[in-house]
Amino acid sequence: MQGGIGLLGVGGGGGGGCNGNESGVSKVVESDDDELELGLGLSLGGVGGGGKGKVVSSWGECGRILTAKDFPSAGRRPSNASSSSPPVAVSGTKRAANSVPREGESSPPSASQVVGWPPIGAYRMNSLVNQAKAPISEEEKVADEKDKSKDASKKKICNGNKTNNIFSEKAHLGFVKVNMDGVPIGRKVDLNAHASYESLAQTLEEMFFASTPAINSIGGEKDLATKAFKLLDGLSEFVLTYEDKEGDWMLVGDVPWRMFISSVKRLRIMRTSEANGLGPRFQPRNDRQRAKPV
Amino acid sequence: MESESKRKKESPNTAELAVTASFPDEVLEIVLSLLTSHRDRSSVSLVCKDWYRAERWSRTQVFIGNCYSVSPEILTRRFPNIRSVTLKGKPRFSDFNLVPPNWGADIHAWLVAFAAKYPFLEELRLKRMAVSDESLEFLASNFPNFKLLSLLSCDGFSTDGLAAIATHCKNLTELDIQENGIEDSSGSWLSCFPESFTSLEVLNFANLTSEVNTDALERLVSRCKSLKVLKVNKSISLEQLQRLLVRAPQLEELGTGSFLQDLTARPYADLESAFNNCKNIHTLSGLWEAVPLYLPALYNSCANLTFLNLSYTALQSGEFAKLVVHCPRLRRLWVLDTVEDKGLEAVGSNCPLLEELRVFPADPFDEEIIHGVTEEGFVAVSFGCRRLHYVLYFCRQMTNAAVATIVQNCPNFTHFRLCIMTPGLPDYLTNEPMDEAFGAVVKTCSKLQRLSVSGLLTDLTFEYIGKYAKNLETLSVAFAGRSDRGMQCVLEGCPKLRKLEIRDCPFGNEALLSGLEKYESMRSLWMSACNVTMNACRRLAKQMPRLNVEVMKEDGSDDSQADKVYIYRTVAGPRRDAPPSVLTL
Repeated sequence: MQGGIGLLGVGGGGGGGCNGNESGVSKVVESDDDELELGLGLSLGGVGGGGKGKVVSSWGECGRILTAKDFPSAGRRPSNASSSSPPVAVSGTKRAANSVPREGESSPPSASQVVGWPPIGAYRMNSLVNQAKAPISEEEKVADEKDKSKDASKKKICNGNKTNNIFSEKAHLGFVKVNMDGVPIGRKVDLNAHASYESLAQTLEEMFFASTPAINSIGGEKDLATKAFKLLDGLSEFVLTYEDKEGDWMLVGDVPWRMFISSVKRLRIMRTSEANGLGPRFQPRNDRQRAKPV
Repeated sequence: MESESKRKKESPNTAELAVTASFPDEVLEIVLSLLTSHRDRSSVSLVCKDWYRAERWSRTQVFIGNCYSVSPEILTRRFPNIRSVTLKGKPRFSDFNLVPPNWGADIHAWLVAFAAKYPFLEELRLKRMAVSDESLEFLASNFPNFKLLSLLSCDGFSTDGLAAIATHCKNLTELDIQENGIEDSSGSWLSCFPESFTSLEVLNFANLTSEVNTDALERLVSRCKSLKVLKVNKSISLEQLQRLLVRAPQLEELGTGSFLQDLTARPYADLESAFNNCKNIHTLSGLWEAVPLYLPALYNSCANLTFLNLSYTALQSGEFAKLVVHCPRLRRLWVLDTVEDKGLEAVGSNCPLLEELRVFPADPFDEEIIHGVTEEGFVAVSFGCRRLHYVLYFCRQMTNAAVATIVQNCPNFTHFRLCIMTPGLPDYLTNEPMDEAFGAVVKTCSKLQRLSVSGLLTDLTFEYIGKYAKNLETLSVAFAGRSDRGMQCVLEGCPKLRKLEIRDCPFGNEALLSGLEKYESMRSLWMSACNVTMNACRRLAKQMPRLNVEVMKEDGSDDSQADKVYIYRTVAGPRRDAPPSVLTL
């Protein structure tokens, strides 16, 4: 997926995230500064004659512009060159298929269609993409990562052999998407922040069924055990399902939690009527799940 | 070392300069050497020839905001005693891939000049410069007193160059490598610091990825007793961090490595105690992949924190709120928008001293997330943090009313950078342009120095800016405006404008040419994807010989259009190192 990211490190774009300069010691670079007064009155530099170089556009060949195409969530057509037409009248620009149009006017171009926008430095962009990645198997990771040292450090963390922690060694997988039938806009949930199905279900119910979501609290797990969850008990109109690494849709709750989070790719809150094909227990799939050492 | 012997004394004029003639140059130099501000020094140098001379001999630090505005020869000729140089190179939009690769800003010619004229150079701070390994090796070998190297957003070098610095710079006190396009082949550079080397005070390699030898790092940290700033990279685990902290309790700024590890009870307690022992930590960053479980280890350290950088940590609102309760002294906070409005409410409630807030998007391209942060979070912070003066805020929706409230609460903004991520998005409640929002900002915040605008904007925004933003120095504009009039208002109105960067706006030749004289009082102008033609640029270049007018063409574009224009004042004439894609007119 991150095929293009590797190119970023070379040449043009090593950029701080919007003048990111966090060190207090180096502050002089960013704080109120003024340039060397050129003393234009006192010592005029030579007046250069205009260069008459030929205009050779090598821009297109010198490495690839990173566009939204390189990011996992972007499924729209990105533009590879800045548009030269004024985008103020936004109807002229292409709309993303999923964007929600506002009343009475066409939807503005989405952030993913424009080069260099939003203005986040290349370095930061790189880091964010790696953080928000969907979980992938060990093999896929090896194939995907171009930078073997990054790979090495990830592996190092993953191969930790402690057994009595509540997070699996893959807890860094982070966010997965959640869609609910009938709701056009999906959400993302951080599986990192949960240690049980109940905790996850509570968060999802707050996200999709409640109007004022409560702050998710890790310490509240004791209360969760006794609560009834619409999404897990199979009795309500909706049921929680997930897509695993093989692309199969499974009912959430069948397998141990750690096994679940090592194989889940995304979640879907499905109408119970549509979930019939999955069945309450889907045995044949269970033994195809590769048990990850946890 | 103040080289009196080299000075050529001019015979002083008698009558008019009787006052200054009674003031020996040596004294004048000593007095002037107390001036540190560059602006003050520039003013002083313009008073008269004697003062110009005294100033140039006494200046030891120089700041060059655009490396092409002056040449190494001119610099070294004017200032003979420089020990510290700060250089900035590429236009800021290079951070967003809008500048072609190999654009320039190579440090090497400067280093060669410095080796000849400033052999006692001690400090070099570079931003957006092209730096090669050869240059770093040259630097390491030619400046025996070299102490401080800071590279921010530079590119072109690898860890081999760092190895040269570590090996040869015996007096190094600071090595700060941030957000560079670096080829990170191995972490062995860290092991190149000799065992006899003890002078390090600042070490920041947080943005490198390779593993370093942790034993070497531990020994380095142990023997550098003056180490105040340590920012490690992701490859350093929590246990390794704990061992480092134990060896450096005097640390003031800490960047952790990966905050994710399976810790049993005992190592966790050790970690917590190591943090508690570092009583001087006021800046905390890193926290890569932080698992909320381990954050409580930081709680005691948070009491003294003034700067917390969580911009690489995807915390949700609950766990973030729990953390921020422990940070009452916070002045600067960088977060990801995963903390959402609720997290920002917690900031408003707990951090009354906050002066700077930056909220970055965790997933800028995902259209499906409608949360992240909204105007509510920003408003909540403004109610609780009345000292707020610096904000960088990425959001997906905003209203004019919210911004008006915000600046009413916090009228002291010096830096207001609002990025509504969908280009051209109006006020989502009223569907009106965001003109009144930025109008409120410039009307209320008289100290405003830097402004970035976004959302749907007409020329009215720029009328407001031109009329009210009297202290504005830097303006960034994208996908805004209706006609040339917008840009003209700014050029005619903002007396202190130094940097103007514009992309994808309907400003054309008339706007460009309305700023002729203005550009000489500015550092630079960037315009890309606007309506500017080559002919207009040529006209500008012809009329203003002290400006460099550079045009970057894109593949397949109309020959008459100037796709990207970069204009800057210079005393060095047109540059000779431009790549073929950059045309100097």
